[in-house]
Amino acid sequence: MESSSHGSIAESLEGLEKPIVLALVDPIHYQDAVVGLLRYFTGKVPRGIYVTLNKPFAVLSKTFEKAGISVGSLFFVDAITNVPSVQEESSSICLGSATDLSNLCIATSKAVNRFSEEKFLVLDSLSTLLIYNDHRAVAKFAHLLAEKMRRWGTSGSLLTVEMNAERDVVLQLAPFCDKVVKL
Amino acid sequence: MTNREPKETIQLSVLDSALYGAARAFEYLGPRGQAMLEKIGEGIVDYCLKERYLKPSDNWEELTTELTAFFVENGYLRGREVVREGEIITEAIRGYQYLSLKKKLRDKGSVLYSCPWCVAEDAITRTMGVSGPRLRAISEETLSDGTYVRKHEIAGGSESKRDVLSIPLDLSFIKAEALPADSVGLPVFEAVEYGLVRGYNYLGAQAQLLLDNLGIGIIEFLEEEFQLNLPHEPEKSAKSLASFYVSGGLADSIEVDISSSSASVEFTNYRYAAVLRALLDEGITLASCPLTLTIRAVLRNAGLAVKEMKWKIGDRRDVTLALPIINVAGQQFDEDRVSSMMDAV
Repeated sequence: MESSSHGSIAESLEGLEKPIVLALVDPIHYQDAVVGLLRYFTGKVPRGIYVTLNKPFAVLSKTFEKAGISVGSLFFVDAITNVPSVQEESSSICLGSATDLSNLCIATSKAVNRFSEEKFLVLDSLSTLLIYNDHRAVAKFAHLLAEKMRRWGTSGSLLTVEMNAERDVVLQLAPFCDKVVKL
Repeated sequence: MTNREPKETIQLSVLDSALYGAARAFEYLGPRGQAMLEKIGEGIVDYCLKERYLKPSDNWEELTTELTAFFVENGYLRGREVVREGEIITEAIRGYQYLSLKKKLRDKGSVLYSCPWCVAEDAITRTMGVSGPRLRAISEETLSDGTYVRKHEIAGGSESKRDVLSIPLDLSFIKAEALPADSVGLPVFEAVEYGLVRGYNYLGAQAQLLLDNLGIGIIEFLEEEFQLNLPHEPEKSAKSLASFYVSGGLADSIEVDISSSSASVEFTNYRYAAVLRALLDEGITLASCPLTLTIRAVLRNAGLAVKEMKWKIGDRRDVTLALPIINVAGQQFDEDRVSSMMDAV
């Protein structure tokens, strides 16, 4: 699964310069798909911002390391680790909560500004935001982020787990991304 | 040494509501949804091993036999016989508690099955890499004594999960307890509830979104099977659901209070407490309690979202759940304002 995800990502994005991808991930293969996606971007771009709403960055770092991904090139914006106040370190910032979309935007913007070199951005995931937010607000948030990524010259991916149509934001977001990839 | 003490029971309706919700929640994936239900099976096996209902073994036959024994002892089925005649394999399952739910799901056009015994057995054979001949279902029927009979034909190939023929047929060592027909042993309920969370924990926090989908299906089940009529007001709905689950044995009493910014639920002698404790001990904050999932669904339907759930486990099995809630129905996200703020950093 890992290699096929990776393979299909590379094929799907061939010819696109600094693509912004909406990744619709099969929940059965979520972990492999994320690793595949990250492997693709880390192989192309020297620096990455990984916005995690799902798993603490400490857990993710270990998973990615095990998968042979260079974690040192990643900066994590973590909105899931339980911290009493914002905690910033050299490779991460922990916000403490994923409920405030504005704070998440600002923290992401700050993280992007930290690095002058070319970078990619992965948001993991829009699905988590839907637990705490209205789907229209999440769609606007994602729209703004995609627009900013384009302005920053940042490639990357917004992840969403494949869901039933009622909560699906894919239709609303697809026009703002270069490609919708099913993983 | 397995842990086979006399058990408490819980109404089948409580378990069925969760199993129905699970099957409905993954229908949108089509046949792939079965793989998600099998994840519950993995969690069920984990729980059974952890609680010593199963002995750890590298032998899949031992494990599946023990698993069947566990479900028999807890009243989920009375027994299974498998007979081969030529290329036809006939499997007869007696006293199968999943039967009515299976029919209901079939009537809904669902291609998925959420029988906890089956998904756990599938999980064992898949994770242990068992392969055998490909089997093709050719018929099924329910006999007058309630025995469910299905026939398979050996269709060749080696992609199926296992060779049914090698399942040990002698289950006579199992001492099935005389449980009421509409009840199952509490360990089965606990294993399923634990399995639901453990099975989806790999998805991280977003697993709660999938679990919340169960809540929608559970409400559908209760409305259709028990004519539960939920009022429009979230608090009245939640109280009505709580009352149903008390009658089903989920707790001795359940008090629900909902305000504009929070909800609280107080359970007395909560039969989900052991699962909750196990999950919290593992640092997992996802919830699978059917009442909790339905309350979350009711709140969501009213435009309210639940933030972090806070559980407090008191003496014995008395538990309090605090649910901070936010109104998302009118939630605004001002793109222009936030865009300016992003540019300013």
